[in-house]
Amino acid sequence: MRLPRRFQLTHHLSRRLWDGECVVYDDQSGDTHHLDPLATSALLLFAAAPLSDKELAARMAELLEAPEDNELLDWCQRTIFRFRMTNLVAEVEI
Amino acid sequence: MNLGDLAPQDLTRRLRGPGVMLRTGPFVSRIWTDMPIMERGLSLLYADYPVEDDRGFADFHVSVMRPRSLRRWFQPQAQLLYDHQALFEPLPLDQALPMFEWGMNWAVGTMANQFLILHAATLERNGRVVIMPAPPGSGKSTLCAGLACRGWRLMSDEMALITLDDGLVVPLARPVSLKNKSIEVMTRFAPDAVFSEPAEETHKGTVALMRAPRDSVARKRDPARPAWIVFPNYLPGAETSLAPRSKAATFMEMGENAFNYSVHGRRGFDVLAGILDSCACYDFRYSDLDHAVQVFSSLASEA
Repeated sequence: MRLPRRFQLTHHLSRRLWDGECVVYDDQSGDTHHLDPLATSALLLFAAAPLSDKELAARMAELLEAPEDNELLDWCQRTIFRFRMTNLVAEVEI
Repeated sequence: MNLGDLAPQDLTRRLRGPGVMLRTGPFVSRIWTDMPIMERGLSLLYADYPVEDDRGFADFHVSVMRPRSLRRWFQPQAQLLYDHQALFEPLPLDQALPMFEWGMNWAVGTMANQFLILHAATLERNGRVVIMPAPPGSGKSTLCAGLACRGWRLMSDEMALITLDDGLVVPLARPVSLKNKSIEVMTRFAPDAVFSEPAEETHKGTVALMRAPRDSVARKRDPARPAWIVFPNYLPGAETSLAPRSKAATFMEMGENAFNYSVHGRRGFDVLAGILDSCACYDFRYSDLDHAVQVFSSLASEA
């Protein structure tokens, strides 16, 4: 059986949180990113432990007290894609 | 000794010879000019600024000269030289003084990387600084001039100089650049203030410079800690309003409009984040300058 793909926070980030929003500085690229409260929550979950898309959806559902449905999974997959594109998370090597 | 203490002949001799070593905030600029319009402008706007020893170190070398082309015989122009190099196109003679100010801003914004430099006006009251970033046309300079004439210390009209070690705002009180209708607004609001002759048809419209208050110039070595970030927006007929804004969005906007945020890398991020940690952030809308000043007075009197 194939293991799920997991993602973890990259190691070259500095971050600051204010009122649930976050700015993140990437030491490697020199880019600064602004995350809204939902994306900030996802980033903090990745900071705590490597997660797959389904695991992120489960954690987010818990956090938001919302159903763990396809809409949430879709959002999590798009967020992971965006985080990977901006080098905020990287896939965990198995 | 201040520039205003120099006899007119001595000022002319220095400006055409070794240069005048003018201190503005943390910088010393060696300034040359052969143009009477510049001499008059410097005497009017920089009388209260210290002049340092001719043989000392200067951060910037700036001259405003007449170009030597045939054109000087009709529609005369002025040219700004930085380190004896012409970096910009000459402008009509009556724009010499605003051009000098833009050149000084350019020099600081380009060279002074010992600071994190934000594109913002800064003023201080009771030891606390308000940082006002805003795009052109937002009424930033008008509000800045108005506050400087009503008890706030002018620290800068255009650039917030932030120390990298402790995040303090360093004063760089220079003349306030007023454009178009704000010139008339300020001459009515502060009839005792000193203004340069308006220069018309510049790339920013009509521009006049307001002399910085003497006390602001004198406190050139007195940095202070930022307490508020306020984005002003002049909107004709609008009710005055001060509304909280997102700190993270404020961070991004200030970083994008900074002169050298990216130069400082991680350190720039930490310094700017430290400022956001210590500041309350607001959007400020106004149409009436008197009322706007009252709102800022209330802000400053809060604990």
